[in-house]
Amino acid sequence: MCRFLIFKGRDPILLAHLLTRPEHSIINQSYDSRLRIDTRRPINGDGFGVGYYTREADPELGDGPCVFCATTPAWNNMNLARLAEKTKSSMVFAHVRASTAGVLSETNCHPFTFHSLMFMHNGQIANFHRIKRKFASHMKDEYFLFVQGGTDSEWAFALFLDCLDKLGVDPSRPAGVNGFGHEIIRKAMLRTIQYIKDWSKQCSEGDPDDEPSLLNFAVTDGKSVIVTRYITSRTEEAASLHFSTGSKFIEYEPGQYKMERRDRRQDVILVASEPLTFERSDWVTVPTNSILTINKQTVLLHPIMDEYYQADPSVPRSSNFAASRGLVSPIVEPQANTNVNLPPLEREGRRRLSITV
Amino acid sequence: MVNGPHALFADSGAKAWPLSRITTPSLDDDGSYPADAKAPSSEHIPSIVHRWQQSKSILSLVASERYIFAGTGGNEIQVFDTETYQQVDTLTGHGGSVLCLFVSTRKSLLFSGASDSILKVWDTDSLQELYTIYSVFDIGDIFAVLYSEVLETVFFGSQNASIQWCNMTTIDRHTSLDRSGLPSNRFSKFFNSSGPGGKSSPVPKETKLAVAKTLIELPCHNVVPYAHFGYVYCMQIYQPPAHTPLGVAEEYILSGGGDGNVNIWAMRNGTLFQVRKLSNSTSVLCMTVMDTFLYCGLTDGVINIWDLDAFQMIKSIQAHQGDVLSIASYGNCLFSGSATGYVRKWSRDMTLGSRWQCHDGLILSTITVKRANRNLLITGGNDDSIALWDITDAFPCIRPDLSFENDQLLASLATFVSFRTVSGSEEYLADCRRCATFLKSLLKKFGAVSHLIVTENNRNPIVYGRFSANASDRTDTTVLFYGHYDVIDASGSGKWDTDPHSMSGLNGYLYGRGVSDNKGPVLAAVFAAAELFQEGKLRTNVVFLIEGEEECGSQGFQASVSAKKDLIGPDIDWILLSNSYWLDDEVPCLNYGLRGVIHLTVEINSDRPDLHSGVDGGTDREPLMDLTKLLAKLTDDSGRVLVPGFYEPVRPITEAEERLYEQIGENSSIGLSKELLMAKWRLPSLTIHAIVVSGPPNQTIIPHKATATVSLRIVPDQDNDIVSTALQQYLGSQFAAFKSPNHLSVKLNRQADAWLGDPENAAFKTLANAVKEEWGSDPLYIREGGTIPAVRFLEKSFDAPAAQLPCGQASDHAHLDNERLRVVNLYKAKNIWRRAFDELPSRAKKANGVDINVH
Repeated sequence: MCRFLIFKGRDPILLAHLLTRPEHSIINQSYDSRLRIDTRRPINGDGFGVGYYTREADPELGDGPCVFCATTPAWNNMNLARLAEKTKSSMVFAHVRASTAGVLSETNCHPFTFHSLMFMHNGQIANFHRIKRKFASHMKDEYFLFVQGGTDSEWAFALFLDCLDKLGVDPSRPAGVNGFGHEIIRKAMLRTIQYIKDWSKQCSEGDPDDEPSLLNFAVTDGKSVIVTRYITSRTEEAASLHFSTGSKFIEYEPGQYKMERRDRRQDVILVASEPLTFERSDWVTVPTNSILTINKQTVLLHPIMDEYYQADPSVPRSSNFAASRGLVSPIVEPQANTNVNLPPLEREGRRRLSITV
Repeated sequence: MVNGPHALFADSGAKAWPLSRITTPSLDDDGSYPADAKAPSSEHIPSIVHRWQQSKSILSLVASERYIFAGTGGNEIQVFDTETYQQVDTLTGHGGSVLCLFVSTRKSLLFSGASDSILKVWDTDSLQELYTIYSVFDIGDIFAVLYSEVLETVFFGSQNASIQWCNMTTIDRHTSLDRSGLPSNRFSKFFNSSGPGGKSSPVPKETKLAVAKTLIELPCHNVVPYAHFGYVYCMQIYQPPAHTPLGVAEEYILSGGGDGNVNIWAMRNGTLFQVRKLSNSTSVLCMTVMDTFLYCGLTDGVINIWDLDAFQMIKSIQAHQGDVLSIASYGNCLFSGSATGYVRKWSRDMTLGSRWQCHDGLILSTITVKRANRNLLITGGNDDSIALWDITDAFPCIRPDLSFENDQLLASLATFVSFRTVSGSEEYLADCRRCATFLKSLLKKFGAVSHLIVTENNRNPIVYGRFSANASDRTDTTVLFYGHYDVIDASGSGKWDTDPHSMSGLNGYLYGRGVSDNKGPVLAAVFAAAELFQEGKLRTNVVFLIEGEEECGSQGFQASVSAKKDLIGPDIDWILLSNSYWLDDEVPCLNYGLRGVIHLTVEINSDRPDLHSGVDGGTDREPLMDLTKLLAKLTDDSGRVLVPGFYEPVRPITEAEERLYEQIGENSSIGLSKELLMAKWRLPSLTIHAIVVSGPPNQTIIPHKATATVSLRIVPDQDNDIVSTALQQYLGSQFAAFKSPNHLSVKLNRQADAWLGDPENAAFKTLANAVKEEWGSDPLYIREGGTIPAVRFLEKSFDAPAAQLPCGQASDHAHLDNERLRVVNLYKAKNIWRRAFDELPSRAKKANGVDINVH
């Protein structure tokens, strides 16, 4: 139950425009999260992390990102506010955490890094304790030893590194000017999901308490970004994920931001668990069970076509499960209906005269 | 040589492109050729026809027969008239940048897609909104739209990689008034949520969505969800010839996406089926089809050519340095616009024809438009402007030799303006001569008898031209059109936004020195007469007298015209001119009066040299002191002129005249009082322009000489000679009373008569009818405080009354920086003259009420 945010720009952005200044910035999301209702844990207060790549290629700085994380609530961290006002980057990952697995510890804070790579997760691997041994025995020693903390997310990252390795890319080598390439990273990510899915199935065979895994992963080598919105279910909805692209992310009033589209290019790309602004036409929902790629300044969207894929976009998915984990809002459900013959807006209860302007 | 072409060339060669596929050498920058590639020998850079400056970037362009539509980053669609270059409308209703447009000429429909996820349909004639179409899915920005006339279906591609469609034949069955399903209104988990403690989300400022009565919610099965694996950037219709593998005459939809693919779709049983996939290395941002060839513009400046017959990529070239954002074809040519602001023209096999900078920024949209006799390339950029380029020369056979189309009028005016015809300056003598020759040749080309009339002292010649009536029902009426080709110097101030001697079109106006005073109005009249003559419909003889010294007081004009009076014609019925402006920018006017002028210098000098005030102050009567005292005697303390008898001849106002002033006052857009207008137009005035003194300009000198330049604007029925004599006598007697040892001399420099026409005569009536026909409203009758020396002289010489049609608007900035003329005013002036030349009656000489000018 976390929130993450990804920024990739043709030009660098001041971190404050993403982290602290917007009224619904990821910092504010840590205590005012709109897409979940979780009375047990109303806030994402178990730490945060920001990772960014430095602007110029500098041999002394190396390839990898700088990560700043803390276990204090994000809104209470003065250093974060100070750094955000004085740091610019064109490739930023940010994460706020409400722990589902693992103790409160800096080693459990996202984003995780490995040389050039950076990784975040929003969701949870179902019954991770049952399959943790499979993770451990599957991967090479170097990735097994890489795991420092106790989260399912970090293990997923280690598995991803192992998949990349087995595809012929040594993740410890510098990513270089062009990175590892978005195709190979996407492939490694799909394999990671495949393994988690298969192991979960094996270990939960016939278990009446089986529940789906929510796998919203984000990974980057500093050049390309791969983000998944995925759930191991044909009927449930994945944790929320939105994206927004445009020519400029501008603050038109203090705290109020919007995406300006002065041309058709994607000079600014934002991917986030929750929209950063309240301009609804700025944000597009990433479809459930798909994979979003940022290659240079272009967004690609691929479906993940496995047994959980629904080819017809009007086939309904329930958000009950994701909502129960605080990963989407359930408030739409009372009016929702699973009758396939109803048009989507009626079925989902989204046509409400009371909210019509 | 850090920025040298070779260094950059080597760099761009290192891109992911296999060199074997690059058939044209990569270019270092769109503005120049690499050192080893020569510019094409026949390079022709299209001339700019017009430019519209907007306040938001221009994302999309499309043209109907009448209009150009431009989708902007300001959520609007701007509508421009391709004939007059006027902005005719602004279509509002979208809640986001208008990213794509498409016009169905057969159905008179305009389709617009925007970043608000809405597709709107408009009527291209009434410019009214017909439908608002929306999807039930979260599709994001709509980047591409097209309408298939065969399938009668509109297709659009979006940010969420989907393509959706709407059959327009059945659309009326799906209309509704329920707005709750609109993307901006439907329930959203995030945007309609409340935060902790029930605090609801801030609502962004309401975007005004003018929702049409007819909302269309697309059926949820009219969608291909992953039509691409990226944004769907562009769409094209392709109708293959019968022999190709795609087979019988069926329309296919091509879509280009951010995944680098071009997908080919066919509509079968109400659903889109993918027929083919063509893979490119990077995003397909734009494309165009020529015969069976598909040209794809990609990021990184590459253009790929596909043979749709064989589905093979036949060529891939590094066409630009930046992304190829737009592409358009015409005839055998291809035009590509890039992120560097440059357009490049290519032959169909991608040989570079020419390249030129169109915008200061990204070129976001490029289209080609064919008009009656001209082909235009239109480009829109993120410098917020739209530029029109004449690409007719790419196809020389299309332009007829002799044409009176308005385009030709603009082209001739551009040439006319390019001559720096500043009179009274040695520097521009040659330009003036060349300009006079140009005019003479133009008149001859159009069928007039034309030659130059020389003037004394080798001043600028007068251009004479005569179109003889050639209509079957011709009359014996002869009109004389008077104008001038000289201008006020535009150099020096440095405050022009454009080159004053290179006419440029911006936002429906033409900018350049002389466009309004007086070259544009002169050409409008010439073209009107020429058109009638060429059509064999000229019913009156039209004589042109276009002089080159008007701005210098028409020096030499009177003598030369008097000498050539027989040639010019004893048979002149009317004098016509068009050398003034409207009172404001809205209401057309006719001008029936000008004031006359007397220019003089008053000089007082002493017999002694310049003196030092510390040495000689107090010993002498000082010339400057005398002069200021003398000038002070010219007016009383309220400014009234004290020259005896000065005001006596001023004609008393009649009721009819007063009524004309009242009409101006009643026109609310002109905030000028009757008293003010009368003071400017029908009352005389006196001005002291300057006083110059001898000696160095420091504060200890007693100048031995002081000179004042003075002028008087005089009105009917003041007589020039009487007024100037009275003035000289008055100054002499006043000065004598000073009993000063200094000497007074008064020198009369030049003078011109006032002119007062008769707004009731046949010429004014004809013009008034023509104005009403063209502008749809009656003209205001106005006068002007200034002077055109030739008018009254011509009236007297040819015993014919004059009438004046103001052509431009009050904001034309004649004589000032950024002189301009609205294109519509120019075209309308031509049409008014056409009507007037057709309808002006002959004049019974000396008939009652005609020769109204009194002396």
